[in-house]
Amino acid sequence: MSTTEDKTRKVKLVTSDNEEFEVDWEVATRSVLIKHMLEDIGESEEQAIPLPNVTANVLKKVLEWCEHHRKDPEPAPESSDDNRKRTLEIGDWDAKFIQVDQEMLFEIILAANYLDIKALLDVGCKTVANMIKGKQPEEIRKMFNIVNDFTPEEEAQIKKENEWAEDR
Amino acid sequence: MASVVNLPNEIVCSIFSLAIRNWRIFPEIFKTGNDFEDCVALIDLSRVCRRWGEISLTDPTLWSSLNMLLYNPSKETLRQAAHFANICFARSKNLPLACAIQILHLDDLRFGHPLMLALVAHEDRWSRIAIDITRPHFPKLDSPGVYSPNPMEDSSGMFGVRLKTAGNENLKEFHFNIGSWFVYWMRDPLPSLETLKVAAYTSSSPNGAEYTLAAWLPLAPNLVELEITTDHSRFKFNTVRGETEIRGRATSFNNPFILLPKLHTLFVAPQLLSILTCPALEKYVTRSIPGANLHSSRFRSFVERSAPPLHTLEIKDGSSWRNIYFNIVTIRKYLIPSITNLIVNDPEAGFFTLLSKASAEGTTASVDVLPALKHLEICDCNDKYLYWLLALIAFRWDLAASNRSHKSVTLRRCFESIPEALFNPGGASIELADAEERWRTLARCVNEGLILSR
Repeated sequence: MSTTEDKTRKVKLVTSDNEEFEVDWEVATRSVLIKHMLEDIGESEEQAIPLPNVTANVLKKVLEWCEHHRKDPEPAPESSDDNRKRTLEIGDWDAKFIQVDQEMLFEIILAANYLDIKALLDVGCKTVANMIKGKQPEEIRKMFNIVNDFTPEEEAQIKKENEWAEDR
Repeated sequence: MASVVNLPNEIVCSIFSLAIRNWRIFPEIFKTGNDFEDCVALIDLSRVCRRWGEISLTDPTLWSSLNMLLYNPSKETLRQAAHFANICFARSKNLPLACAIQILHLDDLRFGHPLMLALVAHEDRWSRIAIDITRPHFPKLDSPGVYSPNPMEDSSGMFGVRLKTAGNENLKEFHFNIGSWFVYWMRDPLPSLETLKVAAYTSSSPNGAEYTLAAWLPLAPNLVELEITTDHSRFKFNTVRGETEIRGRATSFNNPFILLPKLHTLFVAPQLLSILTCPALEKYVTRSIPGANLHSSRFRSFVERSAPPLHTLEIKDGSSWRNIYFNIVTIRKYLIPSITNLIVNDPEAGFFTLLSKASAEGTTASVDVLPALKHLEICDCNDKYLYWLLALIAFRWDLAASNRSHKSVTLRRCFESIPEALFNPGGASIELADAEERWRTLARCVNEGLILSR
């Protein structure tokens, strides 16, 4: 539970490329990882939080998301009945936010995973799921530059096993 | 530089899960959720590269729901589909299974036997199961004789399928349109079973249905929805041996009243009501109203015995109203005063006549049948009954207006000539003088508060 004092507090974050960001406590604590680290260091305002797995340009983008969602309620514990999680629906602002190149998209997903920001991770995963949904293997390989490392024999075998599904 | 290959396995798995949940639009089959993960789509994902193939195998939840739609499949296609189903079930480990299998335009039911065996081999884990198998051509249900089934009966029993556990405590829903294919040998309770829908007994007697009730109901005290129907239009396969067994077991069905304390919706022929007690029943659905007085007496006995809060009656087949002048006493027994919602399909003249009848009793005129009727829904009605409909609405709306119960009329797939403005007045009063003469009375009823919808 955050206090009024917390809300006015500033937090320093240091990225892997040594850039320092000073942000509001309410923005920084969208990240469960940062929240827990702040709880560990207590009231020390001067102590910067090191984020060795996040570069400055990615953190800037992640903080943009955190700033926009600073007033969102705390995410509920995992609920299997959350319909929004089951669909690929993304809010308008998030959809615009995530319109980035592929490299940044995967950087955001990795950062959201590292910083433990479930809602942002969800936006990233949904975006990738939307990209692969309904596509053939070759299209997916081409889109993500994935090398097909199956041998021709393995590929032929998989194709043969699944012939029945070709006309589904 | 980050790329998809940098994502950890659990994130790729989560992306797979989201993608296959939304790969295609799944049919709304189950009441307890249609949150399928399309493991058929995993075939494509697993073919991208070796790592994706391996990741797709790591999470059993990705493989625990199977939605298979096969159109006009060959014997070989169904054999391969059974092989794939076996792979899915093995990869789903011990998770409960949700399976919807739809095979359309199947020439020979025996081709589906390997797939049924694959499904039944994992019956211990059944949670939601729906099987719908149809022939290439369907005759109209009321046209006996048009359809001549192939002589495919399985007198040897080679293609029989026996259920022993049917999911036990896991099973929530079971839908099957060829109930006579399976022989039911379950013995243990099915406490989670809420929906049971079984169809297609070719016997003209209700023995097959009685057998199904006897096999399932004593094990399923928490049923909320029950549908046991006959369907003469589909397969005859397995009925020789299957129904011989059915008759043998149905005769041993001694408990005259099965109590279903939570049953909300019931769709069985009136003949079967003599073995049921359903104190929570709110909706009764019947294909038709049989002419025989015996059946209507069974219905009334059922109502008296169950004392249910029954408020909705649905009659699927319009032929019930065909000989209403001969059967009027019988039909009236089904139209009990507590009914507030009536849904009728393809009604004929007799229906409109009966519901437009005024009571001769007392000093104040009132409707003779269904005095508490609030909502009337008419589906697939012949347009020639338009004036009968308008007269019926006006009659029930105007008579005893001071204590009027009637609230709404819904017309589905019929009476398209009624102006749209009458369906969506949007709170504004319809100007009667502007309305065409034939719609004025209906427009007045709408102005006075009748809700007309499609």
